[in-house]
Amino acid sequence: MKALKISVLCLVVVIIAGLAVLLIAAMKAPGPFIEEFRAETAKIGKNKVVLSYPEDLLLERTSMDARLAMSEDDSIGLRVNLAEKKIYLEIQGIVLHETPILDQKASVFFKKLTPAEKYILFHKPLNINKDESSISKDVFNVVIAPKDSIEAQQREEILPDTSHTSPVTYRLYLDHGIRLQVYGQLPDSVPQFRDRFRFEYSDKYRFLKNLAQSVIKRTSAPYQPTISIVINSRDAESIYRAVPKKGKVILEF
Amino acid sequence: MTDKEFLSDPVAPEITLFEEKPRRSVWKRILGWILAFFGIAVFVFLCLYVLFIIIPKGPDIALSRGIGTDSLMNQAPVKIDSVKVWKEIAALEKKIDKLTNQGPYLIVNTTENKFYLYAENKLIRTGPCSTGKNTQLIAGKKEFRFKTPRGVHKVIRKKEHPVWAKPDWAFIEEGLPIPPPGDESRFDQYTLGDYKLEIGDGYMVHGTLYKRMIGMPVTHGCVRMLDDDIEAVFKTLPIGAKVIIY
Repeated sequence: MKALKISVLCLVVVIIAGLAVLLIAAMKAPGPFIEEFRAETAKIGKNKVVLSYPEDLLLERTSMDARLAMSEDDSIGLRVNLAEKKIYLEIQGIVLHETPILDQKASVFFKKLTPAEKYILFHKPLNINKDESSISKDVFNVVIAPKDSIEAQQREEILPDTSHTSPVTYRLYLDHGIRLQVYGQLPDSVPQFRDRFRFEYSDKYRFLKNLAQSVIKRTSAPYQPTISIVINSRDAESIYRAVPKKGKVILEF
Repeated sequence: MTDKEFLSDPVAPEITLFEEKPRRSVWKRILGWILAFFGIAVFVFLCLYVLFIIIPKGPDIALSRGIGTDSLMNQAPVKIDSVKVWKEIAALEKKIDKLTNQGPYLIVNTTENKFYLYAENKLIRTGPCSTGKNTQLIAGKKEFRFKTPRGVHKVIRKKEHPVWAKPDWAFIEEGLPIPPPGDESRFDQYTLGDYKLEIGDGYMVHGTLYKRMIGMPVTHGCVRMLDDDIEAVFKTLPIGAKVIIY
C-alpha cells in the first residue's frame, strides 16, 4: 500500500513537471518568432519617411498601399478590416461581397505591434500558402449518361438541396506565419458546437504535439499569431469558394 | 500428549498466525473510494485544462506580460514634410477612386445564386439567378463539366430573341442520338428566353423557360435569370462591360 502511494505521488509529480515544462516552452515560443521578425523589419525598414508618418495616417497608408497592390491582381482577394469589423471580397478594386464580423479575436502579438511595424507587415497583401477547411472548394457530382430516352425520362428530377445546415470552418495560413481562422455562424437552432470543437481541438492537439517534439529535440517551439473571426455561415462558404487556393489577403487594423 | 488431550487442555496457549487490524466500517471504506475517485477526476480535469486551455495560450500569456514585446523597431526620428504626406495620401485616394469608379457591371454569386447589377457605382438591381449545377456527365469516353466559371469576364456579344444551338451534351443528357452539326433538331428558339449576353467560351447570361428553378444551381454553366431581370441586365450592360462571377 505504501509503495502504491509513493508511485502515485511520483506519477503526479512527473505529470505536473511535464505540464510545467510544456507551459514554459509555449511561453518562450514567441521569442524566436520576434527575433526573425526583427531581422525581417531591419531589411525592409528603409522607407523612413513613410514609417515616420503620424500614426493614423500611417494606418491609412498601410491599407491603401495593400489595396492598390491587390487591385493589380486579376484574381479575387479577401480584405479583413478588424477596426470596422467587416470582411470584403474584392477584385480589381471592386467590392464583390461584404459581410460584418460577428465576433473576432486576435493574438496579443498584433496588439503589441506599432503602426510602423504594421506598415511593414501589412502594406502588401499576404499570400495564402495553405488552407484547411471543413468544406471543399469545388464539389462535383458524377452522373452517368442515360442509355436511351426512356431511361432519361425515368430518372427522377432531383432538385438540389439549398438549405444550409453544415457548419463551415476554415483556416488560412498566410505569410509571416500568420493564420486567419474563419468560423461560419449558423442559426442557433442548428447544432454546431461539436464540429467547431473538433476543428479547434485538432489544432490544439497538433500544437501540443509540435510543442512536445520541440521540447524533446530542444528546438524553438512553434508560434503562429492567429486571428479568429466569426461570420455568417453562408458568407463564410461564399468567401471560401471564391478566394483562389493561392489567393491574397489584406489585414487591416 | 495426544491431539485430543492437547485440544481439551485448558492451559494450552492460543496460536494466531496474523495480528488482526481493527476493521474500518463498510461506509468509511466506500467514502474513501469515492474521495479517491473524485480526487483523480479533479486532477485529470485540471491536467486537461492546463494542457488544452492554458498551454496553447502560453505565447499570448508571455506576450501580454511583456516578454519580447519591446518596440520591435528602432525608429530614428525623421523630420516629416506634412504637405508632402498629405499629397501622397491624396494621390493614393485618387488612384483608389479611379479603380472603383467603373462603368456598369454585373456580379454573380454562385453560392447564393444571386446577382447584383451596378451602374455608376450604385446597386440598381438584385435578385435570384441560377448558376452551374457542379456535375460531371460521363458518356462513355466523353466527359462534360457543368460549372459556372469564376472570375472576371466581359460581355462580348448581345442578342435579342436568341436561338440556342444545342451542344452534344443536351442530347446525351436526354438519352437521344447526337445529330450531325447544323441539323435542324439542334436549334431551339425558346430555351434562352428573350435576351442573351455572351461572356466567352460558350457561356452566357440569358433568360429561361424554367422559371421554377431560378435561385437553384441547376444550369450547365450559364447564368439564368427571370424575364424582367435579364431585360434590365441586357439594357444596362454595354458590350465590354464586366461580368464578375464568384
